[in-house]
Amino acid sequence: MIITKSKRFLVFNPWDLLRGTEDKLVIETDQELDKCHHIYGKAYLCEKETVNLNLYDSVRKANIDDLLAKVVFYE
Amino acid sequence: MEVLKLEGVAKSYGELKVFDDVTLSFSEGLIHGVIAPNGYGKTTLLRIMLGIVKPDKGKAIIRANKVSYLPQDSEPIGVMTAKDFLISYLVLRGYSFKVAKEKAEEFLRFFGIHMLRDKPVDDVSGGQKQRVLLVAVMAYDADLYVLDEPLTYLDIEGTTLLKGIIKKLKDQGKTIIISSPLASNIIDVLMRS
Repeated sequence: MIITKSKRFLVFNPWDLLRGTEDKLVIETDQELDKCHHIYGKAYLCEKETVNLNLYDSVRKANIDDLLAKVVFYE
Repeated sequence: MEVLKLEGVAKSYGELKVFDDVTLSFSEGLIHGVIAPNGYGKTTLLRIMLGIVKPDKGKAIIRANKVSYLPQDSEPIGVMTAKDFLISYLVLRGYSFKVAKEKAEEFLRFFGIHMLRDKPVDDVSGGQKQRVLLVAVMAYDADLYVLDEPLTYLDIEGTTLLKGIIKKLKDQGKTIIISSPLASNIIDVLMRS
């Protein structure tokens, strides 16, 4: 549950949030990697080759804070 | 079943309206997270739930028989040793001296601060003080645990241990309400559980 700036209480299941986030893009070429950085900036982690699951989790969680900050402040 | 319910709760501090007409319920046997930036009313909400702060309107209905509460920014009594503090706390909460002593030893070991048992709390670090307080709160066998920003002063080891014990309590059917300014902290706890 989050308390927003206007003191609304938003109840959510964090698992739904995690399922809803696609925050890592695995890229095959340098060209695509540049494009990924250009398009998505810090919104996603653009990375070449393999997915590191531990890093994947931490990135997803970082994105959750970003996401909720937007809800809390700019609802 | 609901272990705790708020009905139409409103609270202001002078001109500052903290809550207005809040209705919430918390189910038994789950971990509930309260997430909000600093100053948005997390502590006030928890204190209203526990009956420590009286709402201006509405009511809090608590169905748990035994509650254990970790307040934010509190410290154990500094002149006591960690072990004496824990035993005193647990005796005050109704345990016999023998049981309190056993529990204090068990949880001091579990939280990795057994070596601090005979040190005055004043002589240990801020993070270690937080662990001593957590030991006291978690060693009490409650139905509902309300933890106000427990991760704030903990290091990686302390955080991991706390997550472990929260998982254990959830497996035993206990209800845990935990507040944090960061969603990732709460999700971290849930992922362990």
